[in-house]
Amino acid sequence: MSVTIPPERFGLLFPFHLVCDADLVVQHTGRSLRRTCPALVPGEALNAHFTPLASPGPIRPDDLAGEPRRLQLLRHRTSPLILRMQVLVFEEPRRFVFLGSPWLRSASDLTALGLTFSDFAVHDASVDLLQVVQTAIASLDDAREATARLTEQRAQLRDANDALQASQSRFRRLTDTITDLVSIVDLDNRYVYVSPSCRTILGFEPEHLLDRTPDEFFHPDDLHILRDIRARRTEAPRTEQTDYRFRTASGDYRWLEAASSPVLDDDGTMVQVLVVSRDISRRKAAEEALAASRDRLQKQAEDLARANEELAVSARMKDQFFANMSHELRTPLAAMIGLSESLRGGVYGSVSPGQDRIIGTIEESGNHLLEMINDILDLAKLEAGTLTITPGPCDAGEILQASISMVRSQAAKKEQSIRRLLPSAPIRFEADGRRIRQALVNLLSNAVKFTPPGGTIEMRVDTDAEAGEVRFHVEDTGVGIPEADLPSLFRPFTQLSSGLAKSHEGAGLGLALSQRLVRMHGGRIGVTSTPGQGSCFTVTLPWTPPR
Amino acid sequence: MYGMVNRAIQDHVHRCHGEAMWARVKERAGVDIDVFIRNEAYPDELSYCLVGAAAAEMGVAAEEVLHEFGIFWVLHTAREGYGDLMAAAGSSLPEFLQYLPNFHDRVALIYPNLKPPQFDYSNAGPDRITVHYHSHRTGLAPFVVGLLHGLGRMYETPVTVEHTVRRADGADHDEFLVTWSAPAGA
Repeated sequence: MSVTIPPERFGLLFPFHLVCDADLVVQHTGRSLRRTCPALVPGEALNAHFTPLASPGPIRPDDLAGEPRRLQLLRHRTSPLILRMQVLVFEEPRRFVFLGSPWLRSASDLTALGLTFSDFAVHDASVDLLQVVQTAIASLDDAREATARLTEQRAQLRDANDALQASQSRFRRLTDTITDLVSIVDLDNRYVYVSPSCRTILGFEPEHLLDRTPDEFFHPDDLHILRDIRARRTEAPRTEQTDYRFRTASGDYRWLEAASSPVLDDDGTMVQVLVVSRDISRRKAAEEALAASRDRLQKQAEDLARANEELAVSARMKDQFFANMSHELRTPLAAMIGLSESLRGGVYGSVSPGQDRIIGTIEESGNHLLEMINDILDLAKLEAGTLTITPGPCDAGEILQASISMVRSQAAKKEQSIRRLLPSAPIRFEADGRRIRQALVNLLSNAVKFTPPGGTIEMRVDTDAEAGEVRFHVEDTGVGIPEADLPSLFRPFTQLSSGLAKSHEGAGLGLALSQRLVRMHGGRIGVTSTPGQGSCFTVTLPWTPPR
Repeated sequence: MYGMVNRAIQDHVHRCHGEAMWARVKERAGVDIDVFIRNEAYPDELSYCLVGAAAAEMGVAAEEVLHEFGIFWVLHTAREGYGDLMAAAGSSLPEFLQYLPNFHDRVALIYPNLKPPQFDYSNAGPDRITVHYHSHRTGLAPFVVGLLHGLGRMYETPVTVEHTVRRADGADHDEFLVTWSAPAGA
């Protein structure tokens, strides 16, 4: 069969074809070869433009004619073009027809040669092979990228694994050495981890608790705690701190103080619960002992309060009794004293000197008794809280003068002299004058009592403007007070240890009463004394200096 | 579809919207693949899921995402992996579009498992051509429009693309009238 191919069809089938004469002078070229090698025009010597790829010499016609099935590779002298050709030899006249296309190793060769797919015959597989190669290259790139990504991920995985192992190792060391009991419970409330301290705290091997629930070990009375914690945790994961009793290997229970915290994953979802427990049995025992002690103390305090209350009632009854008794005593006594005075005054007829002396003794004893009863009455009122003072304007000089007049006759009997020192200017202050005078008279009366006959008593008043005080001083040249007696000086019914003091009458109420009266005014009584030389009592009262 | 399409989606989202957005798109699509191998066949559903997820994450219509992917595919994905081949397919937009049928036929040779679309053309003129698009897949016409716009940019030739025949309207294929003015610098 013979097929004649028109030249334009031949050019379409072999766009890179080349026809040379017997001397390898170019006679015709395909359209694509002309585009690639524009200088390769008819008349040009083929060897001027191409050389054999494999040998250094020129292209020889004999070589082309001798081996028609041999692949001819021609290198373009001025471009990267390499033609991959099969040569057909036609005779009479001899012509060499080169059929083939450029050798392409990659798609970039196309670009370098300025070629497009349209330059190739459709049947030419070069372009398809290029696409296959390019696809393989792309796949290789993808494989490299995937390998690099895998390598990177493997490194990250290794680092993460190392970090995890380090973390686990730290955790293990921590839990192996910690004295607290560390445990992890899963969402089914089963132990998945228990630290070795379980042995010392509970007496169990850690494995004994694994896959079991805390419910099996909780004290039955404390199970509600467990249920409450779980209920709250279901609502919102939170850290809880609770005390409960936990069964040990010996069957008894130990108090544990436990802090349970949710273990969250990266999404914030609780996956486990971490529980750190501490044995607080000793503390609980101490707390129970303390509570028992506190209860005992509380009971004692209540007993004491009851006793105090009863005592206060007794004291009030006593004070009431004293008040009543004093009143009952004073009324007949006043009659006795009054009648004695009337007798001595001759109201009921004349009395003999002997009778007068006896009546005088009765009167004097009655007065003394009355004085004592008055003191007892006042003290009872003070103790009962019923004695009140009525402050008003007072003149220190007048009070001093009045106080002295009250003891003057007593002093005269012992031939004692009373000196008074009054300030040049009047001293006025706010006080209940009658009660202050009562206190001062007590002091003066004591001074007269404890000062030997012929002694001297001095009473003076002065002020301290800076301190805002007015001071009354009662100083004697009496027996003085031993230092040991000073602390009990103002206690009621107290007898001083001094033998001289005991030789004097008195119930020991005067100083106690005076001190309480002065204190009711916001003042105080002080004393300095030298045994055998005398004493000085000072009544200090608040005073506002005149402007 | 072959991995190249998924790779285009990945590269586009990653480059234009960042790695975090791509991570969200993958998560939403339920895809756990780090590297798409370009000549590896993947289920079509995976590509559709990625497009849907990207549209949802970006808050735009899927058609818009497909259009953007088409442009990106030409200008980046194809050029970066097959730049010389793309260049060899034609020295101008009309030449490329006329070679397009052969180009895809050759692609079918390389990817035996691929069911590539078929392109054809008609009414080729100095400033226009009608591109015929046949595919067993549906809903990818916006992607083709994006490809055509991307080719216009690649050849620096301003184009308009009119979707003249639609499968959505009952036709057996889509047709796009592509018109252009002179390329930049011509």
